[in-house]
Amino acid sequence: MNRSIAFVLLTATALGAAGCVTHETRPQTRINAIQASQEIPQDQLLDVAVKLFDENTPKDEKKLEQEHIFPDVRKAEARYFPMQIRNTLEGTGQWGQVRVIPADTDALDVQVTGKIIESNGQLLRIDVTVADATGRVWFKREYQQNADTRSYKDQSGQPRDPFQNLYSTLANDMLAYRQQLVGADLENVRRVSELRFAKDLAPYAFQPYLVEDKKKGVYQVVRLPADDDPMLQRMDRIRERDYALLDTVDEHYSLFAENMAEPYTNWRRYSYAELEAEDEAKRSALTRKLLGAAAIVGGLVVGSEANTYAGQAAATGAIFGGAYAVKSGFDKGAEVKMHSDSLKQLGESFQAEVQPMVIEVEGRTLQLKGTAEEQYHEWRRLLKELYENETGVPVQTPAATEPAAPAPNSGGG
Amino acid sequence: MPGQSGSSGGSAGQTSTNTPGGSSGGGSSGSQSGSSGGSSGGSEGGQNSGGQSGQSGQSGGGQSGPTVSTGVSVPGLPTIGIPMPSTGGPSGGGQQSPQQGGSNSPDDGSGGSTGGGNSSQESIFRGSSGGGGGQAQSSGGGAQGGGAQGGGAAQGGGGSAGGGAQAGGNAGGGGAQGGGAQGGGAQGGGAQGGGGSAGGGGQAGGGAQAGGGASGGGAGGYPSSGGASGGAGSAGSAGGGNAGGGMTTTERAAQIEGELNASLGVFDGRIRDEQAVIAGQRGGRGGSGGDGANGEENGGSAGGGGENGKGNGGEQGGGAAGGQQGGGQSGQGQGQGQGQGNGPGGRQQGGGGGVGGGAAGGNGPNTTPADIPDGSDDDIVARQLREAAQKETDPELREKLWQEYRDYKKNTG
Repeated sequence: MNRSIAFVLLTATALGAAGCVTHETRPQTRINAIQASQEIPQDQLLDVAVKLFDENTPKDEKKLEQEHIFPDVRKAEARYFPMQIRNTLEGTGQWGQVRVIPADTDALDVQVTGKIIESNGQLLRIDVTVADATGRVWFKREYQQNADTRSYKDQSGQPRDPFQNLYSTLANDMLAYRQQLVGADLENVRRVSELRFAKDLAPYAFQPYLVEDKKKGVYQVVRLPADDDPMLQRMDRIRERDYALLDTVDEHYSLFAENMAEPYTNWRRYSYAELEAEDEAKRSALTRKLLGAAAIVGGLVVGSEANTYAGQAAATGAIFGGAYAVKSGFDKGAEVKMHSDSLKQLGESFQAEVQPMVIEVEGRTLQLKGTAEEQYHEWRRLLKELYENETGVPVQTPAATEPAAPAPNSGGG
Repeated sequence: MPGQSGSSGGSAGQTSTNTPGGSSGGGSSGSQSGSSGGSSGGSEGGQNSGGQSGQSGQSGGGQSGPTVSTGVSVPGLPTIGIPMPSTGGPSGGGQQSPQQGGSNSPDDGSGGSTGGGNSSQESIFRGSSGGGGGQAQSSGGGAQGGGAQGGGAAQGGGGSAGGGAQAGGNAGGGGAQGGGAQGGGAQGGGAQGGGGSAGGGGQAGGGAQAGGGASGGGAGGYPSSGGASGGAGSAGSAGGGNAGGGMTTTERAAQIEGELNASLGVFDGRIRDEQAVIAGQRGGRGGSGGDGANGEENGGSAGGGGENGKGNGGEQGGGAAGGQQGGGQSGQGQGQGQGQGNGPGGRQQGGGGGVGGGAAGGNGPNTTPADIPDGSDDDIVARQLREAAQKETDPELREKLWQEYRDYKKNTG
């Protein structure tokens, strides 16, 4: 009886090892970002700045190759993902202006920073931190999602992003946190944001209004300037320009993302297919090798104990089947390499395509920032003169210690 | 920059030239006290009030020129001078004046410029006040107005005065101011004070400065500048000096505010240009912008048509580019170009714009409104404004920029 069972098992094992294992990705439930159902009071509407992500590109060449990381593709993704988050947030109507801004720019009311942990078309994993202008950290989380393959199968002009669930989840998390804050908190965030901007441009005039706990990195408003304070009014005018600058930078990133979307989607689609095939081949190769080995061992054991012709024949069959399975396992290993090479070619090809786009968008934004810095420098000077003229108090700000011209929005930006 | 106030002075002078008061003023004051006479003359030339102040100035200045001068730029608005630096006195150089008076020209001119120089250092608007000096020079040369002024002022020379007188007058304007300063300075410098008011004459030139001059009062406000320039600028320059130094806090704030507005305007223009480029790129991407290439070429030669470019190009970014160029040279291409450029280019085409430009091109530099001066005496801010306005393709915004330019010139004139 035992021998019969062993025979059946061996046969099944050998056949299984020689056959194919399929791996099916189940369609994901689509998560949508929660839309605003009622109008949010203007003074509680928070602007959001999504900073360019940390590319997190390894320096080790081997690691780059092993993980199929292409530096220029990562650079592009560090600009692309924030734009997807921005679009998602903006689409909810829950926030004020949502912009993608350079990483070295100070925040608006709420800032989202992120770091790419893994991105290959099959899986997206990012670390995200959300904080507001007062320095309060809303949360810091890792988000991860397997690609929604329906997006890759969708051949229409604008398929849903395969990782849209991730962006929507993040947007919903932000909303959940914001909903915990009361109206006064939201207004305070806006106020601090405004005063931080003003303080950056004219510290001598706005220092007294804001206190920073440097240990905690938290800002607190200690008193407010008068509504008709001329310096504050000037700040408002300058901030409008700052917003305009940020909007323009954001437009550049938006255009970049639009330009990159199609080739990027294609790259991810093919990359996904190759990765799946590679994984499949790896799994299959391993399975075949293991089962093949088991079949050989089992065949040897059964053969040594079998007294009948049938038993001997079964043992021999198991040994040969196992050997074949092991061989096909090694063949699958070659297939894995083929997919890996294919992934490399795909990545290099897309990298070559996206590289000029990255260079262009960075060039444009840098140029804009340079122009803005000149203007900020001039505005700082004029504001200082106006302040001195109006108060009669000379500002003790040695040029050397004067803060550098802000990047757009710091304000600046 | 030198030049500007100068010019205003010049113009003022002209205005005053026609005024009998001017010459008479000159004469009378001249008679009163050597050089001072001159200056006062100047002032009167500028205004009646000038005459008054001049006199008072004289008395004050004349005798204790270096110390205090009181000027009344506008009846009812006394200006209190602050002890003025001795520089003023010396230069007052009634003595110089005679000489200059004699020659009426270059020297004065130079005087003027120097004055300008000095003043510029003190003034917030370096450019403008400096300009004053400069102009003085030119005017001096040209109309002697400078001389006149100089004459006026320095020359005190009654006689010269006479001469000055007329030119007088104008210089008046310029001189006047200068006068003021000097007045303060030496002889009647005070007189000059008068001059100061004359500066008022300046009015002619620019209300603001004039005012400044008047207050000349400057007398006081900024002794150093006033004095300095006064001293130096036998006449014209002085004007410059006063202009800068004599401003009240409010006037000064207005000037800085004007400069800030100008800078914001320039920034707005740049941002709009950048946004037009982005819009063009978007359009190009969409395939609508195809025409650029030709458009641009045509437009280029045509000069312009920027406007068309923009109008038509609206969505095709190309328009923008074309527009800008066009703007520069022909503002009138507007209605005509229909954006027919056909090029593959897409973005720069400015396509349509180009064509339109063509037509307009023929018309020459019409983008610049008729009341806008040639810009030869523009300082940096004015130049930036002018350039921004010329490049601006949006008619509405362009007009705003021109208005900013006018306001700025008026304030700094």
